[in-house]
Amino acid sequence: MPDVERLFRTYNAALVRYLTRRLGDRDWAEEVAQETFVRALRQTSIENERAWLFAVATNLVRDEARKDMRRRKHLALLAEEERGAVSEPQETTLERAQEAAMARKAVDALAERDRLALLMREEGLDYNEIAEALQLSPGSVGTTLSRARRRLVESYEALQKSREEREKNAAS
Amino acid sequence: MQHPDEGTIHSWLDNALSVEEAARVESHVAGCPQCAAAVAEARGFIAASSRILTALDDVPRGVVPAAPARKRDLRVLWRAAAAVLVVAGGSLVVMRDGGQKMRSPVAIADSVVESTAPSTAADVAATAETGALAQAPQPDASQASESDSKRRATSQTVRPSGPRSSVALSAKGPPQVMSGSGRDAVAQAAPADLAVPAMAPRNEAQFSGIVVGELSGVAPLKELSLERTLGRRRIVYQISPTDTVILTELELSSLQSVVVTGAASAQDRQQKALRTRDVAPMRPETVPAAPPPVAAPADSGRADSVAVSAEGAMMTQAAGAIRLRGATSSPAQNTLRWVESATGKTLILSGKLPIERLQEIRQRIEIERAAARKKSP
Repeated sequence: MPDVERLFRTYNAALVRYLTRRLGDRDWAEEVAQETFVRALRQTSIENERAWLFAVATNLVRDEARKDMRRRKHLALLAEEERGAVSEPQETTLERAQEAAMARKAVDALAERDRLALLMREEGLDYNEIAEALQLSPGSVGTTLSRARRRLVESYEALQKSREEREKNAAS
Repeated sequence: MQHPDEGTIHSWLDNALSVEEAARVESHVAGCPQCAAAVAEARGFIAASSRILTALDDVPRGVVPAAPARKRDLRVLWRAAAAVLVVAGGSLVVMRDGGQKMRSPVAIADSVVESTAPSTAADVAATAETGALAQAPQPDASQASESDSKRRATSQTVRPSGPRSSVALSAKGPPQVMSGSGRDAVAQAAPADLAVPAMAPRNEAQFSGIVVGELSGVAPLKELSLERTLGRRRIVYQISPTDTVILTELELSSLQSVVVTGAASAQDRQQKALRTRDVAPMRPETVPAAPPPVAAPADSGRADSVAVSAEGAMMTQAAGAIRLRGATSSPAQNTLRWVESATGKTLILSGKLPIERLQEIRQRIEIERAAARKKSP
């Protein structure tokens, strides 16, 4: 049996961040991460720990929460927007909320595989680990990541631009 | 070699190529302006996408049910907790500082006599002018500092706090509750040895106190400078030709009425500030620019007249020594912190003046701010 306590200490923070970014809800992310470690307990051995954990967490999200996910993500977005609107005098908050909402939209616009590869890479997984977790060929990870990054940045910038235009119109 | 494709460039930048492949790409890029440009672009995408993704860390907990209701609850609870602390602080006995470890805050828990909250929290602060409170960012080693510092007010968080020994809160209030924005406003007395190292990663500079000169006469409040940084406004008021105080206005606040006084010498404070800064270099995006330097009057001759202290240092100070201003203490750096009831903003008034004097100034500031609000609501 793997040393789950060590696994938890080593990977929980990254896994929760990965899942939070993926799901838009930290509580939910922590639940999935915990379930992932529970699954690890049931294994006799895990060869590549990090890839295994990220793969299982990803599958948990995908399989068990597919229906729930869209609803919650949408609600998260609504809540962010609402908070932004409510706290109008607090420019910083509003701005942060808008940035978060734009980032969420831009990330959601990515293809699932691109998104997961990018989020895993951000948590430090190397190409082989990403390939293993997502069942890609290692040679295609670079292409996947380059596409994901380009599209993420481009759609974020597009959102930013349309927001600036809206603000300009509102001001004039 | 052919021009490497975009995927290969990213692989190279991610250190995912074999040594031979990497060498080939490197030598090609060195001699090919077109590919050098592509590499620069790829670097840009990598950095930008990382940055965009960090914005996703600002998420609320428990999106369903809705968060706003919880926020109000928190405020009420905090108000009660703050009132308890102020009352508790009022009955404390003086403790000497000297940079030493304070007596356990648990010891003073006995002096929490009552928790009846007066009508407004501001009243508490006004009447409890000698109340001293230690205030410390919540030590919370379990949270990664990086993602933590990214959390903002948009996320209401409930998380377990480190030390259970926090005085009044653990007895009365909701000790484990803090809002994302409230990490600067956690009224919590924490043992110095816990608070000092643990707060370092959380060290978002909150305010800096600069005061020059001695008290002299009453003069109309004059704004010397106004500086806006992320989440706060800092106004330097000239109180007299030789005195200035700094009013820091936090855009976000959740804690009501806390009074912090400090009687340590500015020099001591300064040293602590420097130490803290060494330990925890602050994240550039969250650190307001250094406060505008206030010119020291030529006749002051005080080597310690300019004390730049990040909040971490202030809080270290406060956490390190819950104490009252001694009756005969010379004006040291004193700080008043309260929440403006009209706007809900946390205001921090800081200056090297006696606490009574700061209270006076605070009243004048409140009057002026109220007048300004009437003019331009």
